[in-house]
Amino acid sequence: MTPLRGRSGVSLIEILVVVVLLGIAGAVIGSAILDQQRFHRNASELLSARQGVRDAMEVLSADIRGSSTEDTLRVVSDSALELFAAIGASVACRTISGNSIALAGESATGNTLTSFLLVPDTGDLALIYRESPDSPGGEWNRHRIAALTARSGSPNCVADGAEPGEGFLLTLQSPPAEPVKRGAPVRFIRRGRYSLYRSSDSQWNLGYRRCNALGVPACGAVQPVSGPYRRYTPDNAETGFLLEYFNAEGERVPGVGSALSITRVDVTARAERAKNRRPGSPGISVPEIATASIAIRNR
Amino acid sequence: MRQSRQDGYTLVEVIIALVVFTTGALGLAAGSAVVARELGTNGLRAEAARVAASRHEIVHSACRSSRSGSEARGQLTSAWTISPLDSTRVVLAGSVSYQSARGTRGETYSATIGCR
Repeated sequence: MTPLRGRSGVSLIEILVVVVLLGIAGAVIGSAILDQQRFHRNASELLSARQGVRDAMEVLSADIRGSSTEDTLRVVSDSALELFAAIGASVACRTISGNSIALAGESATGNTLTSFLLVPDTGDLALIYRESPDSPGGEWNRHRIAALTARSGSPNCVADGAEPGEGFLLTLQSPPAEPVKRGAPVRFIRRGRYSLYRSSDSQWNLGYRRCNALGVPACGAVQPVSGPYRRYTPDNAETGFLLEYFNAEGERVPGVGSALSITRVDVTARAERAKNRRPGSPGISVPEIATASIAIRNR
Repeated sequence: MRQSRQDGYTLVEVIIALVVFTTGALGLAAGSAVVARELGTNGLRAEAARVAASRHEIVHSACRSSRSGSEARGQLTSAWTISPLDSTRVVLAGSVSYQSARGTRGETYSATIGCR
């Protein structure tokens, strides 16, 4: 009788012990989960800051590599760069009339004489190659584009009068000095400006603006490319986005007006991120920095 | 007697369960420490790759005036040698090393670069 009564329930002591142990376990697990959450937030902030600084290198390196100092690089400042970026290349088939030229088309097989990163339009320039007795390497004549229309034509050049002709019809604003020869290479360039700017949410981003190819240097609305970065300051060691220019001897080039001697651009991006953030404390702010040197290929 | 032993959990069972739970929770925390260390190392590795790529670009842009050398940038040290291959090309060989959680790590690279 006695043993049965003693085992019929749970004693108060036992309940207390279990509650205390559960409490301890709960506290340990809860704090581990909170730590985990905070760690995850810090890690994702770190990764997005790294992503931001890496984006700037990647976007700019393609355009800077493909630009040409001879006629296309326009140095603007320590936080901005204006250049003509290569957006496509093609081959001229023949001159149809004074200022309209047939270009080989794009082919679905990938074996093509024409490739466009971006389809050129009226604001862009066409550089048409011409052999010249004056310059041994030939010369690239610049022309403003009036229109570029795609036709359902051949990816290759066809004989005169064959229908439906080639893939593209390029119309220039003024006819070339002499008719464009069959097989002449054509390059397309677009003028654009990269700069660090302050967006409407008062963050500093790298932005891109498309600009007028010739004439008044007017640029369109800015589009964000990457960021956010630190704010701009004239201090090279602190600013959010820095461009430095160097010549073939590896010496620093002062900037505006010396575009011809530039062979290399160093890009540095600095983003801000919080470190050691805890409840009730915002943590300390540390920079995430990336620097890359980019050589200009088409000198 | 046998019947009554199965009525509930003994204190020992409860404690064992708690220990197992707590070990799991601490394992979670230890896991994030490992991830944090790897994040740090990865950042350095990415920076090392950028330093090597930048060196390649620097030599490419100033081929004739390039010399062997070394530099320290942040937590990275980088050393490179430049040897002429023929009249138009040079060979760039280098290494970038950094301190990771598991001691010093190094990456090496080499490239043949055409001069103009």
